[in-house]
Amino acid sequence: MPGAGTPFNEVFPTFLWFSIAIGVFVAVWLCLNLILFRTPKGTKRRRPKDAPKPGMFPHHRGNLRLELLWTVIPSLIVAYLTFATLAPLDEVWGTPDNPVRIQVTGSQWVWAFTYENGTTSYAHLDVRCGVAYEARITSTDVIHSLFIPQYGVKEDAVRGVDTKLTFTPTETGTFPILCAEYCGLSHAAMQATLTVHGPCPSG
Amino acid sequence: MAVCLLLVLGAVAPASLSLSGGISSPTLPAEGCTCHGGGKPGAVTPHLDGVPSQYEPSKVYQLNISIEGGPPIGGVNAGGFNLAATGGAFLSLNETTQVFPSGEIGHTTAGNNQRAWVVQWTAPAETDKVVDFRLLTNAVDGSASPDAPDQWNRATAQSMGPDASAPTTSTELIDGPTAFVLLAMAMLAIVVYALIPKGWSKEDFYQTIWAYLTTTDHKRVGMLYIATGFAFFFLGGIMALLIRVQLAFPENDFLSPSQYNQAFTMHGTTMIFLAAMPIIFGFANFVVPLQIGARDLAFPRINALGYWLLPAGASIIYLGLFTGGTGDVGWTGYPPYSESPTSQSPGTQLWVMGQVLLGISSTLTGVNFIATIMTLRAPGVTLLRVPLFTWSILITVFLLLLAIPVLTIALVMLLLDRLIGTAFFDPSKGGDPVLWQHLFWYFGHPEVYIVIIPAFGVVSEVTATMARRPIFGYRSMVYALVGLGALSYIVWGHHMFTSGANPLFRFLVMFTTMLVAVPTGIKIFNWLATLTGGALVLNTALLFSVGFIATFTMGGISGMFLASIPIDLHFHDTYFVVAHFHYVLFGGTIFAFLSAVYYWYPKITGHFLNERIGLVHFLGTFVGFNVTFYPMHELGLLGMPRRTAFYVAGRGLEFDNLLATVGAFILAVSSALLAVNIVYSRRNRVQAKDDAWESGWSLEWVTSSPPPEHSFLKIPTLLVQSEVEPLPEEQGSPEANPAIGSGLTAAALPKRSRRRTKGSP
Repeated sequence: MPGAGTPFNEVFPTFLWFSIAIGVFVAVWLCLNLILFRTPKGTKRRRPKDAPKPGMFPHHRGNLRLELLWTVIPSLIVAYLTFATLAPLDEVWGTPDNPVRIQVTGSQWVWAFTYENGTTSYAHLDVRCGVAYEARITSTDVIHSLFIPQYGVKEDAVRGVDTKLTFTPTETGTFPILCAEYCGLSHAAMQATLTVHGPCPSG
Repeated sequence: MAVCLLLVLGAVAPASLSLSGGISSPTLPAEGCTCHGGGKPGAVTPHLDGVPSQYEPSKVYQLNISIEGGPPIGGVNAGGFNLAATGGAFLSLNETTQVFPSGEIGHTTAGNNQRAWVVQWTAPAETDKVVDFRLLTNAVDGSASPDAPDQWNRATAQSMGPDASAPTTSTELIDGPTAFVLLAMAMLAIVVYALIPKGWSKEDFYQTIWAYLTTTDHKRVGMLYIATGFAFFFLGGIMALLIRVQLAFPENDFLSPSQYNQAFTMHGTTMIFLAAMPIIFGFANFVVPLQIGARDLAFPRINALGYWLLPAGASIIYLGLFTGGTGDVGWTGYPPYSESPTSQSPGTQLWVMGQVLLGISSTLTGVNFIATIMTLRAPGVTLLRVPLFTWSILITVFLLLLAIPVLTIALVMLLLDRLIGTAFFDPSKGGDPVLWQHLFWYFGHPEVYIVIIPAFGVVSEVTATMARRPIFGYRSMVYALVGLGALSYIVWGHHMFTSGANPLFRFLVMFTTMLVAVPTGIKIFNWLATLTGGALVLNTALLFSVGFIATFTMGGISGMFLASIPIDLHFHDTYFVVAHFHYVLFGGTIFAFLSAVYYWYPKITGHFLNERIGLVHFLGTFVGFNVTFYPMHELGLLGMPRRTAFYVAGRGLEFDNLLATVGAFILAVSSALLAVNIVYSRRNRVQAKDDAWESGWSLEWVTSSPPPEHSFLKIPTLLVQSEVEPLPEEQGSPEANPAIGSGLTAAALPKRSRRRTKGSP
């Protein structure tokens, strides 16, 4: 689960609450339907007046107002959710001021991290808490995807293409770095560790 | 287990430097070390000398390891090895070798610039052991160029104790996965045997087989499709179980990574192309001509050809099993992996070829259905009086016609890349791997709608019939279907939010993807409104449709999360996605088509399926489904990537994975109940009337159950109920209710529809 303060966590709760509301609404309506309108076997079945008959296109059934209602309300929800995504999206795509650059290279099946001073480490990345990082990502062979669950970010590593992602560690600890794009036999083993060194800036 | 962790740390090397830390890993393939990209097997010869054919207990032996051939030793890091034995102990003699915690021995950084090593091996104290040695070597040119391939190979040797009996291969012959598959096949054979009616002579048997082999009748072709689809559903299900057994526990080794990769590739391909689509085409074949009052499809022979290409394509895809491994590139087959030397599973070639054939099959079927629905409708069946299932098939085949050729083209490009060295997708030669993603998902997203839209059609039929009322908002249902079909072509980019595409493109795709919620919402609310005020017959068919509404809503909601880019950046390619698409494809398509099985079974066979078994079947499927896939949402939240052959302990993934495996077995057992039900119902027939559910309106309920050979004795005319027996409130003018579309209550049959139906046979 991505930590606090990530773009993921700025949007996720909004979506979650809307989802729960819609899900509960549908579930309750569905259950009420099953409870209220069930005609059990054995009892003489009530035949609705407009029950369809074979070979006849049935009576019209519908309510324009209701149908418009459940066209407009989902549209508004969609508009709101898109709006709610804009600010975090800006954060995802924006570049922080003076980020520390890390060159990340994916190869079958290891991540290589080259720091600004030119040293390279394999399957391990050391970062400092509170510093903004920009990882420039590429691959030497097939497509990989740099995935840091702690920050809820992921970007593909494609040979010949430079992609990037940014993150700012906010707490110390050791976190996994994974490969999220299937890259062959040892895809599952293409893991690395991220160590965040303190101290974290207060506030 | 610790070895796995070691691998994670040990697999530390840029391409084309032999692993300076040594090679040690349980996930190394049995064939040898492919530790470096661009590896090439067989070009070097490893030698393992000094292994005694018969060892003396506890004696110390010196073993010589060397590599012959390979590139000249130019730079550094020229070679490496890993030696494992099933008994005894290794000892490192100098600083060039090291013993790993797993007991294997390999080179060290100091021993990384050579191609010969000497190690010591102490034979086991037991006198009756058989010790197998496995040596993996690789040779590298040391140029550190990413394109420089390393060359690797393996060697084996065996040493037996004085009292050891000759090794028996019986334990090797059947491993866990094979036993599992064989057991499942045996069960399938029992079901097929049970389906053969009692008292059948050989002649009856051959006659029936011949009739099906040579048929062009839409009903028989439909049944062939449905039977094939469910057979592959069963096969794909077995692969799902293999996957779930492997993932039940962290760092499990039930399947090797190679087997696992093949399993999920074949699971995906099978379920989409060989199970879902054939089941859909099967019902479309059987039901659509009946619903529009036609005697057959427009081109019955092309229809039969389309069907027979399916088993042909499927066989080609599965031939990989006999050529050393099926395709292992995932159902999405992303290049450059799918054309890289590290994925030279021979089955991948067959996987590509087979899919091209399936594409031809689908395209033919698509043309056929468009022609049929547009030209063969019976009198009275105007386009806005076509039953919703047929509408959904019409939308589907349009999607099919526009989408499948794109996949076929992409597959042919991939084939050329693999076979004759073009470089459409190979970045090392200037190709663009992201192009494949665009092409694949331009096909792939409509494809998932191709399998879900017919499900909408089924649910629309079942909810209305079982509520014994007309569908709520017929027209808005049709418009929503059309809207979904149109939207499906402008959302493909949401599969590529992490591919580094243009931000504006990504933003637009995010917005169009969210828009999908609107027509989907209309459909869900219309179904709910259809049930409201109905006289619900709560049978298995309706239960599966109700289950569909519940699970599909869940899947739709999780789709909204994935549409939002900041959320998708975390969820992309994790188990949350797996949960999402199983909620819409299993909870959607499969639930709907299980509903379709119960709904149209009396029409197809003339008798009902048993309701008691059906109830258990539904409950087991519903519970099993949710127990399997609900925990995957949390796995995604925890950041477990999909398509991984194992996961490490300690990240909180254990419980959810175990739960999902338990659910998968509940699902498997309850799915088997469908077969039980079919056999049981055949032996205890409850005859069905023509109008089996007593409230269906479309023309399939007019003809007999099962329909006669030419489907209709006389081509029927679809009447309009509000004209024949108007409701009290309709007896005034149609304008009394503004919601009533004028077309729905038109006084006479439009002339146009009569003209249209001239072509009916």
